[in-house]
Amino acid sequence: MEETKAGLGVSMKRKEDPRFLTGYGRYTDDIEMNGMLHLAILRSPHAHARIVSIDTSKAKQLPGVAAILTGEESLKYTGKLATTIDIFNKVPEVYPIAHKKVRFVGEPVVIVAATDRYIAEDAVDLIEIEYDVLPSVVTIEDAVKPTALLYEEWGDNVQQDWKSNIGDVEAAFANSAHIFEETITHSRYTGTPIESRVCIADYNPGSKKMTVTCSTQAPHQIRTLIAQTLQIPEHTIRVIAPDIGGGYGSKLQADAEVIACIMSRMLGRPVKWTEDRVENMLSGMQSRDYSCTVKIGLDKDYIITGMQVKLLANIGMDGTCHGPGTPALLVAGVYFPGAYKIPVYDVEVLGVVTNKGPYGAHRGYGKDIASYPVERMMDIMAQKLGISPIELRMRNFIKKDEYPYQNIAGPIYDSGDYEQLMKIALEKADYDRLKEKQIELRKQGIYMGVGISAMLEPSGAAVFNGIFNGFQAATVRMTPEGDFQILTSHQNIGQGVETTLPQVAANVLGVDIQNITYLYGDTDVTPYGLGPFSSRGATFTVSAVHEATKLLKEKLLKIAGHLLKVDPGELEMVNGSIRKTGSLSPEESISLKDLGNRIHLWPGPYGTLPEGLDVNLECTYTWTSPSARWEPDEYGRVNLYTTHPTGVFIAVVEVDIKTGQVRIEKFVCSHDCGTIINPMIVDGQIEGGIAHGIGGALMENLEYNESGSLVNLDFQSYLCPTAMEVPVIESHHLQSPSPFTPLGTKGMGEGGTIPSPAAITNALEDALAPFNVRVKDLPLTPERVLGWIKQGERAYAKV
Amino acid sequence: MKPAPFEYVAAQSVNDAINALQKYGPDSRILAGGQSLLQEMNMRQVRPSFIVDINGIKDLDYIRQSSEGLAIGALTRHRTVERSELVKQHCPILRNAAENIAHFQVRNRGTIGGSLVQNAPGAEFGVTALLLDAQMVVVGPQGERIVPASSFFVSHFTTVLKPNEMLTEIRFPTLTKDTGYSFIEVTRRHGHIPIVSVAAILTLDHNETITDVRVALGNVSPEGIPYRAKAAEQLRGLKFSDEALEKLAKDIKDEVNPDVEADTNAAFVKQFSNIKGRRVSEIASSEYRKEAAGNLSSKAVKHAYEQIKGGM
Repeated sequence: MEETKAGLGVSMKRKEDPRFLTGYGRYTDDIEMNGMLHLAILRSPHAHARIVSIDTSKAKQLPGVAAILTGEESLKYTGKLATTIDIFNKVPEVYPIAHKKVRFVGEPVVIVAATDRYIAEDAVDLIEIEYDVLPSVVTIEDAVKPTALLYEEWGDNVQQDWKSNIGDVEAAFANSAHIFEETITHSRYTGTPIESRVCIADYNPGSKKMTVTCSTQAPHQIRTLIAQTLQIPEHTIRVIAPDIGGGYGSKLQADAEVIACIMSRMLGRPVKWTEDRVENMLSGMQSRDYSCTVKIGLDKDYIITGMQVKLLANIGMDGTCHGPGTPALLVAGVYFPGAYKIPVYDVEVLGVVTNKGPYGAHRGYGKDIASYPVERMMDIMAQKLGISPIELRMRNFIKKDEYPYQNIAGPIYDSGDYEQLMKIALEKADYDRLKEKQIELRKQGIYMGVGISAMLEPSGAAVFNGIFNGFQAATVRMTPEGDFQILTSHQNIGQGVETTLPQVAANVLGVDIQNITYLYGDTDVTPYGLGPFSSRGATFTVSAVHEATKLLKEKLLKIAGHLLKVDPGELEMVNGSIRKTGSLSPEESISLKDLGNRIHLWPGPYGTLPEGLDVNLECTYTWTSPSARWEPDEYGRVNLYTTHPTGVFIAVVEVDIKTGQVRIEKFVCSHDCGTIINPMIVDGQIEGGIAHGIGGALMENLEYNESGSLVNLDFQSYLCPTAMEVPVIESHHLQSPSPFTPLGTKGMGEGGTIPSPAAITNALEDALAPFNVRVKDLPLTPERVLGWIKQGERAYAKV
Repeated sequence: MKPAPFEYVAAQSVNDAINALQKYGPDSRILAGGQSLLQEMNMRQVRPSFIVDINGIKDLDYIRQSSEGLAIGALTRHRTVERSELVKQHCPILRNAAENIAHFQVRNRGTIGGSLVQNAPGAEFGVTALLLDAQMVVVGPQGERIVPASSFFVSHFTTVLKPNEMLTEIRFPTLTKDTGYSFIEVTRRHGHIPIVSVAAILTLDHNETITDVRVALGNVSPEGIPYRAKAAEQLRGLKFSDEALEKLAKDIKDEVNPDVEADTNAAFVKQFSNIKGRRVSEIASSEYRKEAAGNLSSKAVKHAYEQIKGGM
């Protein structure tokens, strides 16, 4: 694509990349401070146990150790962990450092501060702890039984229990020609950012101010949560977030970061904690891990008559304070209808706590849970009916002219065209040819399959009761030299906002993006606001920046009009100047540099500015969603997401039937995220998202044994896909602008992760159709796949 | 993720190294490429008190032609083996084996001697050494001894090496030009630790009668050491055919006896969990490994056959 200097829809190279690619990125762990101490954390080796005694005497004597703190001692400096989000769930009383009881392998128990990390870890080795081991709760069945209670005061292990029904589902099923029911499961996995969590806390006892530098997606939310947890005034805390090596949702809470704050507060010195990979696997935010029973009725024309879903999820030890994971289940609960028209709906969500690590956000946040079982179900129903999975989807898709469309569970979908997306995807994948080739290849003993999944990516959440509440403030300012700065709380986590937000402003201001700097990552610098999560950037932040830039433009035009003696309505901004529209006369034009200089320096504001305008060339706009609805309707329904990108994803896989190895040959997707700001970045987000989906489908799995120990704690045993496992990915775009955002943009970035596990699994079943393979569990390990093939062969032999 | 305290000794010669090993005893470990040892140390799965670094012994890094074949110094990096002209000319299967070891970053540091002494189940050079009846040159305080590959490996992560001995050289025979060869693996991910690895060689006479065939496998034996399939040798004297391959697959599947409890027999304990575990990802059930061993073996012999026919 040709590169131009301004405007939307242009694949501009990312402004941030030269810094990252040449090693000039600056991450939290790169920062060293005078007198800084390093932390190591002694973590629980037990999934569930009472702490009987802790002996730190030997460790305290180790030269270089500055302080050792137990959970009980920490109560002098901290309260319980603040609540991130609380919607129809129980909130446990949990602490940054375990207190009385441990609830997962890896829970922090004792903290050591020492002159370096080596000594700190040596000291951890010298601490002796006696535990009274309790029965552990590992599976959903354990939790329901229960084998033990995590929070005795609850009386059960249920953190989330929610039901909703609209219409009479039993009557709908009674009137159906076909009814299908399947239980579909998904393994537990995590975001694995390449930079794990890191935090430097620096409490100054003189000023009583705390500066917290950390790898976070949401500096302001972290600041608020730290203030609430430590019970100190929020205005005395400054959170700085430097370059971030990925977040994927896993860095949205003040969890372990609080530990560094506690230690610095106690010691009055800067302390650093760098999470290692083992710690991240154990205690970083985890996701998925559910069993979902879906029942769908079809009439004689294969039109859906009703849907009933029961979702059972294994949250782990908590999903409200350690991390904001629990409400993901509710998101799933309202989005199971997905891309389809569901006339009658009945849903039940049960989230239980177990002795696994905490539940947080991870690329998908329940939209993936809504997608996988239903998109699998569409294929399973088509297989059983002997019809095309394409036809079944086409008959039930929401139609283009039905938007804005209200999903039966409440969400309002802004725009889209699934039928067209399906056509594009099939054509670009050359679907018919692939299916012919499949037959030819089978004769040669090669098993290739094609799988389809429709995609719905609710983006830009505005959720009540917590940190995901859905607003965004942006400030745009012009400097005296006539260039620009954009300030928001929207952290750069690799998604390209240092480029896309300037593109949005440049489009309004008629300047080069090189003349615009995006400032973020410091709570003392930017307006209070939320971070990147829920694919909200192109819904909320882009809209806020766009509106703020328009305000600034209006002000600049008024000043320029005054100076040029031209009505501001007749002015335009072009190439860094303001001029009378179309005019080439120097008398009817003023450069932004000249304008800024005149206002601020030569001569300065008096006389330069028209009556009624102030000198501050800085405009702030706070954007809120026009479509979010928190007031429940008669059925208790609300609308939390503003925009809804759509797509159809096709995966092509090949299976070695001798070994069960699965290779993904190719992904072709049609995608619609409304108005596109930077096509290259959109394609990159889709590709990265698919890579995450491939991980979940083929290899990633947090495996807990029966005693509740995580058995794969490192990247040698927890496998993420590499470039070798991620195939060629082709993306094709439709642009159905959102009516709910000023530019028609829709947030995106999770859309690759949401549909790809179903596309891959559907493709695998298609490849192995001769063996009647039915996928039971993810990930699709060679052993499992070979087992299903063998089962199919045996069944075949009987016939 | 920092190692426990240790003393560091840089050896400049084999004598230096042996002296250091003698002095510090069983609590010492040799550091060669460090691709396994340093991870284990960083995770405090092992806590040697003394590290004897042999990277300074430059005269252990060589590939030489000898009268019987190739002599490879223990400190030779995987990448050197992979790229060596001598290896390509005289024992090209070693190149295929090397290509299957992890990713190039690991191959740039990891050494052939380190891999053999580490004896991780499935490791590529161990399987190839057993296939080709390689000879290991072991040096200790009493001087040099030669150990055939068939008696070098003892159990998971354990060889016949005594704490005061080190491996200095590995001798591989020359593969004749008419020998077909193959090295393949089942892994869960490109370059990852093999679930099962297989090396095979094949020679035929002009009537397509098999004159020599050998198959060695990794991660299928009860002891966790490379395994030489007996079923393969039974093909000698038979005509090469698809039926013979099918039989081979079945026989090897029946013959191998993978360790059922691979994880409980392993050498180190994972941090934070009470599991005695090696690397969970490569653990597949005994049943799966049997199946894969059979299928992979016939595939490898078939590759070797195609290679002969392709004149490669």
